[in-house]
Amino acid sequence: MILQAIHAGHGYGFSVMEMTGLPSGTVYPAMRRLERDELIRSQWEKPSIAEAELRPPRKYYKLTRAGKATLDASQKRYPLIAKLIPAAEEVEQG
Amino acid sequence: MNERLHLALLRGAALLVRAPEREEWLAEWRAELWYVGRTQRTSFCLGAFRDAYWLRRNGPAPVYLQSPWHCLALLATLAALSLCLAFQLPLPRDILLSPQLPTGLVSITGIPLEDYRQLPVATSRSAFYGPVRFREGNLNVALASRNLFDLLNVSLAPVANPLVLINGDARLIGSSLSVAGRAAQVAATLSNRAWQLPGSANAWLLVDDQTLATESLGYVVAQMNPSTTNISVPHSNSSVARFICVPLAAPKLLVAFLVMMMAVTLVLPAVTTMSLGEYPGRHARRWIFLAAKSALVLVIVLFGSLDLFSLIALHLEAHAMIVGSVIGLRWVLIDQRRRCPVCLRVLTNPTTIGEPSRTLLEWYGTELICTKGHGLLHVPEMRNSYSEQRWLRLDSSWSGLF
Repeated sequence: MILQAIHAGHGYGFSVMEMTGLPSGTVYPAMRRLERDELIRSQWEKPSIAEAELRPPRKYYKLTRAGKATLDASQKRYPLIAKLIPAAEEVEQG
Repeated sequence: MNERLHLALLRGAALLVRAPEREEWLAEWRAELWYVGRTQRTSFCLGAFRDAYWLRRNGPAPVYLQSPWHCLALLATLAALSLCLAFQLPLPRDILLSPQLPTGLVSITGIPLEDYRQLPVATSRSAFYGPVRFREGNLNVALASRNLFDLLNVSLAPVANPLVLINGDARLIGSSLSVAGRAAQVAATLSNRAWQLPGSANAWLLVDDQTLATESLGYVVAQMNPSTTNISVPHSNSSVARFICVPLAAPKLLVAFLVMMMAVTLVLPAVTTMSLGEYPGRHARRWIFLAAKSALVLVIVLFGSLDLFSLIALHLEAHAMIVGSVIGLRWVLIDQRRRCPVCLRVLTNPTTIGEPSRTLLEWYGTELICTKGHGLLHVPEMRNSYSEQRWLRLDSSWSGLF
């Protein structure tokens, strides 16, 4: 679910929490494990972008190639995951 | 105000995270908090504690615990410190060094002096002491038979009119005091803990049995068969007075420790699995290490509890010992399970293998590796009777990789 949420464009912790319904205290450790297993990677946003928008910089997560492969395998096994958490563009179009 | 509280919560959680990762986690939590809705902020901050707990539990062991020798050295240092502190602090020192009551002593409470004189016990093997008789300044003085402290195995300075002070300064021994108009010399000082009999006074004036005089009921200490439950004293008017004899069991630290260990043995399986996993071959060092670690942890808990609760003046040592032993031995078992059975170093590089959905068909769990190349440890995600953590030994042909 977390991989699908990140893939769907919910690239930071709180957004993943909101989308998956998982509580704080679950999402961040899970994301650390995914990062440790090299399924996702994280990167801090440039401070200048955040400063321009008067907000603190975010830490964004992205799927790695291995993460995408794992997500594809999971989607084949559980097609409902993709429907539960659609990509951000699909939501806007819908 | 709420913002400060939330920030304080996040900072508190960050303290639980290891120093190298602390700033990174705090920055991420703070950044995320900005986006969290007002009503969800407190639960988000409390969730940070769960994050920190997870990090502690799943992160690498601290450097000083990774090597078995460093681990034992640290535990030995803590044990020595708690032991030294116990002999420095008054309360633990009293418990450790208080004179043990001799076996076969019984106590009789609420006995008149006249009945004590009629007891069918030799006067050399029994002693009478009364309630507080005089007050001299801060001293509540009671009269007692001259041999009372001999029966209790307390040695007295050889003085003519001995006075024993409870909680008195040992430097007072030999000094003279005036008690109810008569001169007395301090023959010994005892701590509160060392006085283990019923009745209380903070000074005992020792006199011959003939000069003992009190109209109040007193106490008797006698050396007799500990199975004696009561004793009868015939009166001149053909009535008989019966007194209950209470054995004065010598409180033995070893017995208390064994009782504590029994309680811990019952509780421990409820808080952690007792299995140490499947390790082919004999690893005697592993068991010696486990025994040494357990012994040191118990010493730390025993004396640490005594030290801590004597400092904060609460009589909760026994509770602290049981809880501390359970927590300590739980840590010993968890630590033992994550060590290489050959070199006893903490295993590293945890990697998740398999998927939760394949639990029933395939193996799913975490693999850890010994950095010295001794082998791999497979820890199942869901422990059960048929799926224990297993050690896979790597032979010397793998040594080139490490």
